[in-house]
Amino acid sequence: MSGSGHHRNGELQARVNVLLALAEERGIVDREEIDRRIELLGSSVSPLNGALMVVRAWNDDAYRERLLDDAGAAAAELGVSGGGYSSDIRLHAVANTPEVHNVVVCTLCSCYPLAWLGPPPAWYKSEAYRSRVVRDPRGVLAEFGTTLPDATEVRVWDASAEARYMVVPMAPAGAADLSEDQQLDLVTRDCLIGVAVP
Amino acid sequence: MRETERSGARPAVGVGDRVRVRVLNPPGHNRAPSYVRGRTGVVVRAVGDGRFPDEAAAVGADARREESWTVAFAGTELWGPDAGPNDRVHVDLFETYLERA
Amino acid sequence: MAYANDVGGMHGFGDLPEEGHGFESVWEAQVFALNQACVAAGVYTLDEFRHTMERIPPAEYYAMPYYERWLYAVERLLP
Repeated sequence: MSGSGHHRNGELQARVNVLLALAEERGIVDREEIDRRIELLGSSVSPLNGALMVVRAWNDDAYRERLLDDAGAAAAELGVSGGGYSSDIRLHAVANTPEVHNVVVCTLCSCYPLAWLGPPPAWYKSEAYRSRVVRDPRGVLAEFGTTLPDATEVRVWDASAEARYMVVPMAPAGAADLSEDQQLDLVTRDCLIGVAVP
Repeated sequence: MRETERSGARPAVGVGDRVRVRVLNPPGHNRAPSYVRGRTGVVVRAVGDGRFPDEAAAVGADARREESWTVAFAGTELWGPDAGPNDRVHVDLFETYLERA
Repeated sequence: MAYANDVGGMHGFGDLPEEGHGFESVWEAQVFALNQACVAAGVYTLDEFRHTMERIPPAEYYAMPYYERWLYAVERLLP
């Protein structure tokens, strides 16, 4: 298992500083652009974007259809635009139903819809999660307190090419009586990954 | 949807096809997880095209582009009787990694 | 047959780690942003980056904190 490396922060920061200086010297990227990219990840890009999309889908069948058909375009409709690496990377939304539960992983690295939802949690990047969720999804879900009926089909999505996945959870009973803000609170990051349900 | 036959011996695949992941062990970069190599599943979705990663890792941005497909595998096909009978794993695989089963 | 990153189905990695979100240190966020900028600028492809990390010898790979693997790769691809 990879540790946190906190005790080596000084050494690692020094190594990064060398690269930042080199990148600036070569005209690839300056410090302001680095700071701008970090700022973007800390503010406008967050799981709230996914929650906004899910809640809109709960309340608007036509939007739900567009979300499941082309999630990138549906995100852009709400002012959420992915970006950062390459236009080849596309968002795809998969919907939970009474018969099917979805959960997302990347076993080969840690592909995640980061451009839309912000950086993934530490456990998502861990070998423990990536190795186990494809083999024993119900066991992993149970560790998050999510127990599914045996008859429910569990679909694990291993993002190994250009698609990045987010889960559209089902609205819980009574959600229609809640305000939109209350609905948004139900859709956590873990729901969007599929290890939890609202 | 069925792709037209491409160059070489590589078969095109389409949604609904039963496919097997080729057993390939290139020394370079490859995006077919080991746990699906040699296993059979069903194509459920066209992901779209992208730079073929095996090539892009070696020659960079000039790599050819290729389609990838989401293939659904039964848990029992991958892990045997220890898998849940209603578990499925969906893996996105570039066309080169696939052959018709 | 596979590099150290190809862990789907493996046993033995233990419990899921503690919660922790995003970047825990400034250098992690910086190496993330630097890699993103290098790929966007065409200095190298995401696949070259991934493959450089994959080739870290397995024992070192598993001992290395997540973003140190990124740093290791950028150190080899940028210069």
